[in-house]
Amino acid sequence: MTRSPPSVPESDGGFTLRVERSMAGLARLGGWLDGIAAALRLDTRSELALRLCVEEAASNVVMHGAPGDADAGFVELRVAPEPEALRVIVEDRCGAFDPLTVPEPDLPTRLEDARVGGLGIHLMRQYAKSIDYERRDGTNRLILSIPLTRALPLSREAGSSREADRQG
Amino acid sequence: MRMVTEQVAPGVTKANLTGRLDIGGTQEIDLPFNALAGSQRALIIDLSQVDFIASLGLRLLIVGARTVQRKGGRMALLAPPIEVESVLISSGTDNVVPIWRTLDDAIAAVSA
Repeated sequence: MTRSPPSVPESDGGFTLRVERSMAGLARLGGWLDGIAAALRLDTRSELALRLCVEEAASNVVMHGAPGDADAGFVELRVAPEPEALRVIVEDRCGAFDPLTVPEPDLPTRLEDARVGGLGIHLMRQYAKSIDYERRDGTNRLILSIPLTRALPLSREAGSSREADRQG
Repeated sequence: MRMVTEQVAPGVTKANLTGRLDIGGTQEIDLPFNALAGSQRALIIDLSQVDFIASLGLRLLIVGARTVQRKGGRMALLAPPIEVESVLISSGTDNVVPIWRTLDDAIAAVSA
């Protein structure tokens, strides 16, 4: 079992994790997401969508990201609760890579033809409400909105996360 | 992630997976799973105790099924929970590695 830091919400109600850009580094995601799901009391469907989108977005960075600079060895993840969605931001400093330009895969019909990659963005599109990509100051930023099947009981946090949105 | 194997019929092995086939869980069973696929001709993967799968886990299953098929064998998936089944269907994995609801059907499918 890989240990992860406790998932404690920050002052604006969001959660942040910085991990090494490797599959071993991403093994920490599971425990981190457990903490978020517990802290926000996510229902099963919302937790599945969050886990799937975070895993796929982070895996894409490891598998497709080419080194850009000295900071390229890390992936930064942030989950911020909003009233009816979770905003997920995945950042890396590798060379520019927009996963939204990856064409939809042809789903396999025969085992011999089944591709063992390229499914990540397809799955994210199935489970996220929206996905946006931007490249700014040498950083790739993927922003996903994960629908919540029931609204979160937010008060002060909701206002804070909107403020965070404006700051980009 | 845990994997325990048992023989459920002559020549038919069932691997019972328990936990999450997420990035960490898939890495934990990657080696023993590939070794199992390399040594069996009739293999059933019991997913009833797996509560999550993402593309790394799908890759594990597809590569395993292909390994079994190359030797002239068959691999089938058994009884995934609805959350896992929805990912298997969204990714088209169910088109290439069949999903069965009951053990008897799965045994018949991999024995044929």
